[in-house]
Amino acid sequence: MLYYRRDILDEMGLNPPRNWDEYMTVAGAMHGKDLNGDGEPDYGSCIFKKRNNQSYFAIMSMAAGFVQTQGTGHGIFFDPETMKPKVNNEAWQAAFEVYKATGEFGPPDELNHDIGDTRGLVQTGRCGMVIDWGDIGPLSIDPAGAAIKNKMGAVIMPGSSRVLDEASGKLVDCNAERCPHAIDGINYSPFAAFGGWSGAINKNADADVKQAAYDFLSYMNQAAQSNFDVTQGWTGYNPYRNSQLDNLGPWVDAGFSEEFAENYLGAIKDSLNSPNMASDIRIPGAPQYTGVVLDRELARFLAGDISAAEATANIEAGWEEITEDFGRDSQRTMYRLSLGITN
Amino acid sequence: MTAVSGRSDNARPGLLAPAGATAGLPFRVRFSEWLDQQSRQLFITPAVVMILVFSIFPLVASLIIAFSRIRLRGGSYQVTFVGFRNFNKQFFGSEQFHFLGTFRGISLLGWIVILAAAAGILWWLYRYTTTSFTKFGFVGRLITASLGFGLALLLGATFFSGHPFGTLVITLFYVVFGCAVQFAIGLGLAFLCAQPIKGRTFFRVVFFVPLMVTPIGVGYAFRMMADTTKGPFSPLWQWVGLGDFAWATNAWAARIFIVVGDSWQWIPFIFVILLAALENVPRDFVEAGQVDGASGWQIFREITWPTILPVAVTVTLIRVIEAFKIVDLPNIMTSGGPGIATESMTLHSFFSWRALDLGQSAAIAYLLLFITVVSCVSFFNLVVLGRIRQT
Repeated sequence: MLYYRRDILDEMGLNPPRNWDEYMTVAGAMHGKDLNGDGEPDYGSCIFKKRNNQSYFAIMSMAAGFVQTQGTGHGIFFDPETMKPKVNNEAWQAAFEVYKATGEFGPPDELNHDIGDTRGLVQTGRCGMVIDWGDIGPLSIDPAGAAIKNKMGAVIMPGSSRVLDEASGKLVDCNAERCPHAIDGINYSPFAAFGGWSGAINKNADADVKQAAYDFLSYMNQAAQSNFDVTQGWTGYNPYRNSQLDNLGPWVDAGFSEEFAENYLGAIKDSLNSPNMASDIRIPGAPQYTGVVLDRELARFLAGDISAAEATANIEAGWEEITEDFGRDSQRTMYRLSLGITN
Repeated sequence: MTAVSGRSDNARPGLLAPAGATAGLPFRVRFSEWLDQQSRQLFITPAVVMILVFSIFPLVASLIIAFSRIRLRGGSYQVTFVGFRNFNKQFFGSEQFHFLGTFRGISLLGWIVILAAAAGILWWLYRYTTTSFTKFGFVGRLITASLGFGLALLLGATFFSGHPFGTLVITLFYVVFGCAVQFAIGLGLAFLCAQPIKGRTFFRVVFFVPLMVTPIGVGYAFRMMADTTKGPFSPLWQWVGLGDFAWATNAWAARIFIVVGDSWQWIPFIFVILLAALENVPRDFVEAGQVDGASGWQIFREITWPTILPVAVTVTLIRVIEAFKIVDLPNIMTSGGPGIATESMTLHSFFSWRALDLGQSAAIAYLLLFITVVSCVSFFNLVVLGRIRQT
C-alpha cells in the first residue's frame, strides 16, 4: 500500500498518486520541504532498499501493476504453461527503473535502509510518501508517531497505464482487452507481499499438544482479541476479519480519527477486493528465486553495478537454473496450483 | 608410550602376572586391575568421541552435502549426488561473478601484477630448490605457489583491471587490509601502554574492553554511529558537511567502515598479547642499548622488535584465521551491499544456506576452508616457524 502525508498534499493542492509518473511528481514536489516542523528539509519518498531485507517485496509490488492484467490467476513470475520466467522484459525493467528513481527523493543512505529504518523516518514525520504493509496505519497513532498522528492517508499501490505484452516483452498501452480490470485506464495489481500469516501445527504432535496449539491460534484470531491487536502497531497484525475491516469502533478507540480509519480501511479493502490482486511466489525454492537471485540482482542494479536489462537477464538465467534444479514439471504444477489454475 | 608402559611394568608387577595368578582374587580387585589396563583408552575416549562428533562428523557430512543437492521435505530429506556441480557453478557457472568477479579482459596494470607475481613465485621456488630441497617441502611449496599465483591472476583480472570482483577478493581485503591496520594500531597502543606513563592501567582496561563485546553489538553500534541522517552523531556529520554523505551506498566507503568496526573489536586482541610480549623484553638489553647511546628507534629495531617477533607472527596468524571468517559485521552493517560490495565468503555461504541451498552453501564453505588452510599453513611454515626457530 501507499501512504502519503494527507496534510501536506492538501496544503499543496495535490492528489495521491495513481501511477508511478504521478508518484515521482508528488515526491519531487514534497522533497526538500520541512514536513515535520523541525526546520530541516525532509524526504519526498521513503522506500526501503537494503539488500537481504525484503526489498524484493517492494520491487514485486511495483512490477505487478506493469505485468499482471488478467486477474489473480495471471501471475507475475512465470508463464504457467512453460515455467519460463516472465521477468526479462520491459515491464520488470520499468519497475527496476522506478524503484531506483524513487531514491532521488529519498534519504541519502536509503540503499542501506531496511523497513525498520524507513518506519522510523515515517514516524518522525520525515517522509512525504512511503510504501509499506498495513502497519503504517497503527504505527502512526503510536506514541512514537506523534509527529504524524492522523496526518496520513492511504491508497492502493500505484498502477500503470502501460503494461506488458507477453509476446514481445514490450510495454504497450492499456486498452479494454489488455487491461480488463483497469480503472480510468490504469491497471492496478495490488501485490499480496509475503502472502499473509498462517498458523501451522505439526501433524506428528501429540493430540493434546495439537489441541492446545489450535486453541491458542483460535484465541489469537477471535474477534475479541484480534480486533484489538490489529490496531496496535507493535503487533505486526494487519486487519483481516470483516469485523475489523467494517467496524470503525476499535480503530477510533485506539486513537484513529474517523476520517483516517475510513480512509485506511478503504485502501486495504480496495487492495484485498481487487480481482487483479497479485500473488506472492508460493512454490518450492521461493527463497532462492526471490531472496537470493532477485534480491542480489536488484541490489547490484541499485548500486549501479549493472543495468536493468542486465539484471533482468541475470534473474531469468538464475530462475531457470533453480527451476531445472527442482524439476520443471513439478514446479509448473505447483505454480499453477498457487495461481488457482486447476485444469 | 614407553614411559607409560615402563611405569606400569615397575609400579604394578601384578599386571604382568599370568592370568591364573589373579583368578583367586575377589572380583572388585580383578575389575579395578582390568580398569587400570584399560585406563589409556578410557581417558582418551571422551576426547576422541568429542572430536568425532563435533569436528570430524560435521566435516565429512558437509563435504557430502557440498557434492549433493539436498532437499528438505516434510519429516525427511532427499540427497542427490551432483558431482562437482556446486563448485563448478562458483568457478565457471552462474555464480562466477559472485564468487570470483566479472572478467572483461586484463588491463596493463593487471598484466604487470600477474607477471610480477609469477616471476616472484618462480624465483622463490628456484631459490628453494637450490638451497634446501626436500620432496615434501617442495610439494608443500608448490601448493602454496599455485594458490598464490591463482590469487594473483584473479586480482590482476579483476581488482587491478578495474573490473567488479567477488566475495573471494572482498574477503581477502578484509583479511589483508584489516589485519594490517589492526596489527599496526595494536602494536602502537601496546608500545604506549608499556611505557611508564600515568594511568596506564586504566588505558589497558579501556583498550581491552571492545574484545568482550559481541560482534553483532559492534555491528549495530557502528551502523548507528555511521548513520548520517538519524544516528547519534548525525548533528556532528551535518556540522562537518557530511550530512548527505551515505557511506553505505559507496562500495569502498562501506568496505572501509566495516574494517573500522572490525578493527575496533580486534585491535585489543593484538594489543593485549603484544603488550605481554613487550613487557617480557629484557630490561638489561634495553638499558645496555641506552648506555651505548642507541636512539629510541634503534632500540626498537634492534632489541624490542626481534624479541617480540615470534609472538607478533603468532598473533597475526591467529587474527588472520579469524578474519577469514568475517560475517557478523557485513551482515549487520550492510547485508553485503551496496550490490555485493561488502559480501564476505562466509556471508555468501550464509545467504545460500538461508535459502535452503545447502549444497552451494557447503561448497563455498569448503572453498573458504581450503583457502584459509593453505594460506595459514603456508604462513605458519614459512614465517612463524622460521621466526620461532631463530630465537
